[in-house]
Amino acid sequence: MSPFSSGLPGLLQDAGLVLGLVMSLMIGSYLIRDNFLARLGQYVLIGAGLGYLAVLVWRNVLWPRLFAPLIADPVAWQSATGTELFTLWLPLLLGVLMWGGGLELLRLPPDRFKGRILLRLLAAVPAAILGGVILGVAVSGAVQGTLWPLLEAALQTSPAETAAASGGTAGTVQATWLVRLLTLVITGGVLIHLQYGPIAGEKESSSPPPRASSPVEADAGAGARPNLYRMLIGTSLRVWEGIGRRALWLAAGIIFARLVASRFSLALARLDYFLYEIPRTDLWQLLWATLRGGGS
Amino acid sequence: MATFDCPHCGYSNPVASQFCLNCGTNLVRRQPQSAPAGESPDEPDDLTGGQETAPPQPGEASEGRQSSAEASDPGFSQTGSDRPSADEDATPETGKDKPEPDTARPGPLLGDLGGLLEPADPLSFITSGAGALDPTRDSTTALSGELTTDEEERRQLRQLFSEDLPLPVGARPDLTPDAAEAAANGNGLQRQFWLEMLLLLVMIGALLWGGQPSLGAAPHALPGLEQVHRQIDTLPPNSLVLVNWAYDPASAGEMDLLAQPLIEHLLQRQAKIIVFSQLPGGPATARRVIARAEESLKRPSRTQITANLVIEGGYLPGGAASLPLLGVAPARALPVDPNWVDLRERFSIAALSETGPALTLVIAARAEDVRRWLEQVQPLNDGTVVAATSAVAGPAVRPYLHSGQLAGLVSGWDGGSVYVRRLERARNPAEQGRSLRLVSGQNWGVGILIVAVLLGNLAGLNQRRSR
Repeated sequence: MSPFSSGLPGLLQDAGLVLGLVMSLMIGSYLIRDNFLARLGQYVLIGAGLGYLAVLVWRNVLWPRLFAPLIADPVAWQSATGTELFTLWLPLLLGVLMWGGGLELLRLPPDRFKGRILLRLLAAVPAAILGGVILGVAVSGAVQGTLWPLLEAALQTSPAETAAASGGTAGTVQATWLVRLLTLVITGGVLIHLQYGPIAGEKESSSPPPRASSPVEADAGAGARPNLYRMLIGTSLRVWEGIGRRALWLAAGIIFARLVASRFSLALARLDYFLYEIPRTDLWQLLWATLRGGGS
Repeated sequence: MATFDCPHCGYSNPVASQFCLNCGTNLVRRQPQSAPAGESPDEPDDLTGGQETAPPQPGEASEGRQSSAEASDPGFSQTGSDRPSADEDATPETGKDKPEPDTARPGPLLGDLGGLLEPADPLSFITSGAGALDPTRDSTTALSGELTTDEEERRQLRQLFSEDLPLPVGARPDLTPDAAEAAANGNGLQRQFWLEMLLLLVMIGALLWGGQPSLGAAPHALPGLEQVHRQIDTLPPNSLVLVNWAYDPASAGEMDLLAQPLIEHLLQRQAKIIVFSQLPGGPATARRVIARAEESLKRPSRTQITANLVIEGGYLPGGAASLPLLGVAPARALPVDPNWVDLRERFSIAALSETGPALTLVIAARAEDVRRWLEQVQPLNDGTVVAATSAVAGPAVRPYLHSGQLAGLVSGWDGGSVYVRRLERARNPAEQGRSLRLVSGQNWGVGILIVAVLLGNLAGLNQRRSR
C-alpha cells in the first residue's frame, strides 16, 4: 500500500474542503485588487506545493531507488558491477554535484562561502549531461514519433493501404484523397505565407517594393517584362498564400474556441464546488448550524 | 506607439510611463535609456555611447538611435537571433568607463524562486557560464523581483529600435483619444468588466437552475471517441493497462470529467491498471478519481479495488528523458517500490516488461504530454495508445489520430459527457444532476460569449463607420 494513501477521517477530509474554499477565496480576491490575503494564499500554496514535492521525491524516488539500496550494502562500490555503478553510484555522484551547485541559492556572502566557484563549475557537469540527454531525446523523438510518421501517413498513396486505414469503402477512399489534397494545399499555403508574407497585399499597394524580398515576389513582380507564364505562377502563388493565411486564422479560431471551452469547464467545476460540494460536508453543516444557533 | 511590457504584470505601457498603468510598478528605475542626461548618473550608458543630449526630432531620431546602436554594437546589422550576446556587446564599451560592468556577472544556477518551481534550464546556465570565473560576483542581489541585466538590455534595445522616440522621464506622451482610453481602461474586451461579471452570473445561474433535463442540451462527440470505447470494451479481463496520469489539481475541474468515465470503463472490464504520473500532484489526483470511479460503480470497498485492479506506479520524475526507458524496460522504469505492492502485483509489473501493456491510456491536460509519449515510448514498444485530453489540447493531438499513432481520442468536457452516455450505465441522481449543470453552464457561457463577440464586432464596425 502506498504511504500516500489517504487515511484521514471524514471530518478532516471535510476540513480539507473548507480549507480549499478559504484558500480559493483568498486567492480569488485578487480579482478585486492585489491584497495581502491574495499574496498570502499564493505563498502558502507555493510553499505547500514545494514541501509536498520534496516529500514525494524523497519517498518515491530518492529513498527507494537510491539511498535504500546503497545503505543496504554500503561497501558495494568495491565489488559493484558496471550496471550497479551506472544505476546507483553515478547518479549519487551527479546528484551530489548538482546539490552542491544548488547551494548558490543560499546567496551567502563571498567571505563566508569560499568554494562557490568550484561548486558552480562542478555543477555544470551534471547540468551539461542533463541538457545533452534532453536535447538528444527530444530531437530523436521528434523525428521518430512526429516527423516521419506524420509524413508517412500523408504520403500513403496505395489505395489498399488507404482503404485499410480508413475503413475500406470506396467513398471513404475518395474522402481520404480529398483530405490529403486539402492537407497539401493548406500546408503549402501556410508555409508560403510564413516564409514570404502576404504577397497579395504587397502587390495591391501602389508603390512597388524597393527590392524583391523573395524569389516568389521576384518572379511575380517583374512588371517590366510582362510574361503570361510569370503572371500565372505569381497569381497562383498569391492565391495559394491567401488560402494558407486564412487557414491559419481558421485554425487559430478553432484552438481559441477549444481554449474557451476548456477554461469554462474549469470555472464551472470551481463554481459547482462552491455551490454544491462544500455545503454538503458535515463540517460545513456543523458550522452553519452553529452560526444559526448562535444567531437565534 | 512604442510600448514595453511591465516586468511585474506584463501590461504593455507607453515607453515614457513612470509607473505601470495596470499594476503601478515603478518603471523609471528600470528604463535608464529614457532618462535625460544627468538624471541617473550611475546608470550605464553603454548603448548610447555617452551621447546623451536633448531628445532629437523624430526625423533624426531613428538615425541617431541607429548610429549610436551601431557605435556600441558591432553586430548591429545582424538580426536578433544572430546578434552577439548582451555580455559581448557591453563589455568593450563599458570597459572604458567602468572597471567592472554589471553585464559580465553570471546569473545564478537556478534563476530565482522560479528555478524551484520549474525544472532548471541547463542551457541557460551553460550560456551564462562565460563569466562563471568572475571572482567579484556579488551574491547579495535580491532573491527575486529585480530584473536581470539581460532583460534590461533587451528593453533598452527595444526602445532604441522602436519607431517612437523615447520621451524624457516625466513627460506625458501624446496619446490619441483611442490609445488614452485603452491605456486607462484596457484593450478590447478586457475593458468590458461587465462582460466578465455577466459570464460569471450566467454560469452561476446555469449551475443553480440548469440541473433540469429540459435545459441541458446533449453535447456533440468528436471523432475518435468511438475508437476509445471499442479499444477498452474489447479488452479481456486482467489485461495490463498502463495509464500515464498527466494532469494535476490545477486542471482537474475539466479533466476529471474525462478521466472518471474512462477509469470506470476499465474497472468494469476488469483491467489491471498501472497508474503513474510525471507530475508531483498526479498520483494523488489519480487516487481521488479512482476512488470516485469505484464509488460510482458501487464496488464493495476501495481497498479491494486498489489491491486487485489498480497498481499505483507513483511519481516518475525526469520529464521526457525518463520516458524511453519506460518503452524499453517498463518494470525498471516504473517508480514502484516493491515494499508497497504484494507479490501478485510484482508479477504483473514483470509481465509488463515481457508482453508490454495491452493498452496505454494517456490522460493529459496538455498536448505536450501525449506528443512526448508518442515520440519517446510508442515507437519503442509499438503498443496501442489512446488519449484523453483537455479541450484545448484536442486540435493539437488530432493529427496523431489521423496518422494512426493514436488508436482513439477523447477530448474536452463534451467528449467526457458523451463517453458517460456510451457506458450505458444507470447513474445516480447526484451524478446526473452535476453532469446536466455543467453542460448547461457550458452552453450558456458559450452563448453569452458568442453574443458578446457579435456585439463587439458590430460596435467595431459602427465605430469605424462613424470615423
